[in-house]
Amino acid sequence: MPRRLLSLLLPAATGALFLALWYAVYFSLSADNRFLLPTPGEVWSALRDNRTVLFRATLNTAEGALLGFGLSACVSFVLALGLSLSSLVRVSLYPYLMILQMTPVIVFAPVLVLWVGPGVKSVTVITFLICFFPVVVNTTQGLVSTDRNLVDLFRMYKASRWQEVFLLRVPAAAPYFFTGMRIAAVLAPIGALVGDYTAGSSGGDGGGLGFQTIIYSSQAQYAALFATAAVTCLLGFVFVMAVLALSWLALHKWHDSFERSDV
Amino acid sequence: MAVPPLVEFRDVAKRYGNGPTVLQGISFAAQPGDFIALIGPSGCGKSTLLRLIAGLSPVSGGTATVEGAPPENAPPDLAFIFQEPTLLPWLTAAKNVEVPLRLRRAPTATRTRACRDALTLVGLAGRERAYPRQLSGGQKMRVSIARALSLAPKILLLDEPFGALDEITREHLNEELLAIRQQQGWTAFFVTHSVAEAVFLSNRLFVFAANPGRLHGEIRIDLPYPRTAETRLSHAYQERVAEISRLLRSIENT
Amino acid sequence: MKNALLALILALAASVHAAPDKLFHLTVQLDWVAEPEHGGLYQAEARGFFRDEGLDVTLVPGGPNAFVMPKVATGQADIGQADSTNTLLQVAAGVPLLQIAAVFQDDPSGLLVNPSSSVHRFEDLEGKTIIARPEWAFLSFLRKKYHLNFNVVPQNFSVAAFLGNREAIQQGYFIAEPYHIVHAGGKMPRFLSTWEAGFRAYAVLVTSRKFAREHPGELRAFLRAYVRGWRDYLEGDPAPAHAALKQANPNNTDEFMAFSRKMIIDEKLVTGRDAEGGPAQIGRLDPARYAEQIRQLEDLGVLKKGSVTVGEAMTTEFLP
Repeated sequence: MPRRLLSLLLPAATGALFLALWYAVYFSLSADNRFLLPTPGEVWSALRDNRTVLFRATLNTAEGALLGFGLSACVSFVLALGLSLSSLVRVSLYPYLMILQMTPVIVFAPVLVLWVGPGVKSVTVITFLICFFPVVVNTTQGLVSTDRNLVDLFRMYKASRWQEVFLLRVPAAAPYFFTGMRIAAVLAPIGALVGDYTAGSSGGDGGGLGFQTIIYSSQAQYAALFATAAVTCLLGFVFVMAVLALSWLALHKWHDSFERSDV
Repeated sequence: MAVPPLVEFRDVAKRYGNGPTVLQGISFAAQPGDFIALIGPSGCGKSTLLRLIAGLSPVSGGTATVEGAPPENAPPDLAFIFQEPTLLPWLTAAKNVEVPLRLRRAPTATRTRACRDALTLVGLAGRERAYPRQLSGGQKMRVSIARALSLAPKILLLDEPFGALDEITREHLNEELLAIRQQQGWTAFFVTHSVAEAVFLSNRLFVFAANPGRLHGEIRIDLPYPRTAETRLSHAYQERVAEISRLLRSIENT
Repeated sequence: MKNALLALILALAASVHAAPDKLFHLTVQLDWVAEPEHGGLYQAEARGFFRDEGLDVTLVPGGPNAFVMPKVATGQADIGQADSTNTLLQVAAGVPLLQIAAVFQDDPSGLLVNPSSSVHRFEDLEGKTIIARPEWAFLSFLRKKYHLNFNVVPQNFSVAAFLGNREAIQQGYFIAEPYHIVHAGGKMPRFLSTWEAGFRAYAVLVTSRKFAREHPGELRAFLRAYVRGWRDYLEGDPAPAHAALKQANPNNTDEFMAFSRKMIIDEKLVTGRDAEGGPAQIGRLDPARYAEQIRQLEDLGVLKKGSVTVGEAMTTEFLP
């Protein structure tokens, strides 16, 4: 059987098996306990019934996630540049960056809402805090660990500091930057969700997916909750795919990570 | 009237910080047009000497001049060819060759012309748009050489540039190098572990000894230029190679 | 001889009955940390009313995320304290719960505002930001009834907003938060209550359908002791309850508990503010009010029409 067909059929079969298992577990529960596990059918209905609300919620969460992610990419890059240019700055700031990263953002969140105001502003800041560290660390690493020979080459050709940074170090650090971005892409939707959970809605059109999660779980609408989880998953997937595409655009011509596999 | 030496070292020593002395008592004078091969056991400072000439590292003792000035302040007529091709992987072959001229902010027309000429010189005229990962080891090395030549340097520093290549490619590149030299007339310092290569390329062979790194002596290679594949077959060549190999082995045992 | 034997047997039988029966163990999951809102329960426990009815009751305090209903529905707790509206919604979603008694005749949840705030009526909420539980049905009710648009920030259970922001609006229990706000240095807040807007919810005790099916006798016994406990807490000496409350939650100062209890009495929360209010009303649930609330929620679109009936949601059969 051709490989391509097999690689489509096998996951589909596993998926069908999984659905069957799901129904089996459902029917094995006593009538009293069935409310704990909605059937796939009920989840699908909930998805359909709540589609307007979920769509708006997804847009809200995506907005916060994109803004926070974009902001973290820019700030991280600039910060990484600064850190790479001076080892003094690097040594002074690094411990604080570590501390910032290790403090769970959830602890900060209520305070942030007080300072920044609720809605997309807080969600952006919270997402930013969650995303920026991987990008800073990876990019700094890339900027600092440029091939010694290449640096010598530039120095020998009497390149100015700026030429060395922007014509050599920055392009050389691109793969590292994108590695950081790929990690941040996974974190961004989660960050936006957490932000949303704490910072709430903006305007009458309701909050994001985190906000909806609170509502559905408190009202025991478990089918809708599952539907929300599915949508969140999809959002994360889209995010990561987008960053992978950007990564490909920037790197595929020359970087080994996009080596054509030997088929 | 004597031509002033292009590169002159007088009793130069080099140590890194408080570390051991890497080079000691290095004295020589290179004339324009010399092809100087540096040969000797590993760890005797041959590569370090190249870096000193290039001004990448300061000398710890003695005086070094390149075109009459200390190496750091010398006019930028030097080109360095490393053991690795050291190409920028995100640039095409052509863009790589253009790097030195770009850094010097040369006008675009000059840049493109010099690049085209250099690539033709090394026999890669059709491969301007290739990325380094699409090139073979030998081709990458040629691009590296083309880049070095794009500035029309007066001094070429080569640190075991062909060490990673197979023998046939290496021999071809040796011949091509000499052919280019004939056209451009630069002075070369060439570090190698291969006696055969050193004898084929150079007119002066500097023999190094280790612990500490020092110049054991100099041997003149009087084989006539231009040297070709034929030269390798000549009796005179093979005799010099054997003789110098014996010398090296005897030095190692001391 | 036969008479003596008979007497002996009867005596033995009597002594067996006189020996203490094993107490029936019951868990009650509270909706918040132990506070005077649970006064009736703690009084009944402290004064031994539950024991008199043959019950050994454990009161489990909750907190910001008490998960009362999941616990009761899955049998991890036998009885729980919750609000009637949210329980209605859960029952409609298929959770097998049953509301069996009232705690408060009117849920003391409402919107707290600073005395200097510009908000005086519900209409003034337009465009404002409210800190509340997002799923609170009262919010949807307000939006629909007064045609309002406002922002909601999920409840963070802190009084900090009041101290920092004159225009802060937060969901709270008016028998508790106002005290905490004043105690933290703020001014006594004003209150917009749910019943002022025409939204009549109870605070209730719930149990699972399964438990109700299997232990009707124990439930009746429990509620007898429970009603007695509230009566005693409100009319008698609350000291036993307060001592127990202090032990369960060291943050319960005498001053706070006195404040809270006074509010409960003054606002007739347990006995009811309607005409038929009074000690006989303690714990009573009115099916008519449930019908009304179901209709309200269906109109709001919060409840799907026909998804729950009064009979499915509540029962008075266990009340004394």
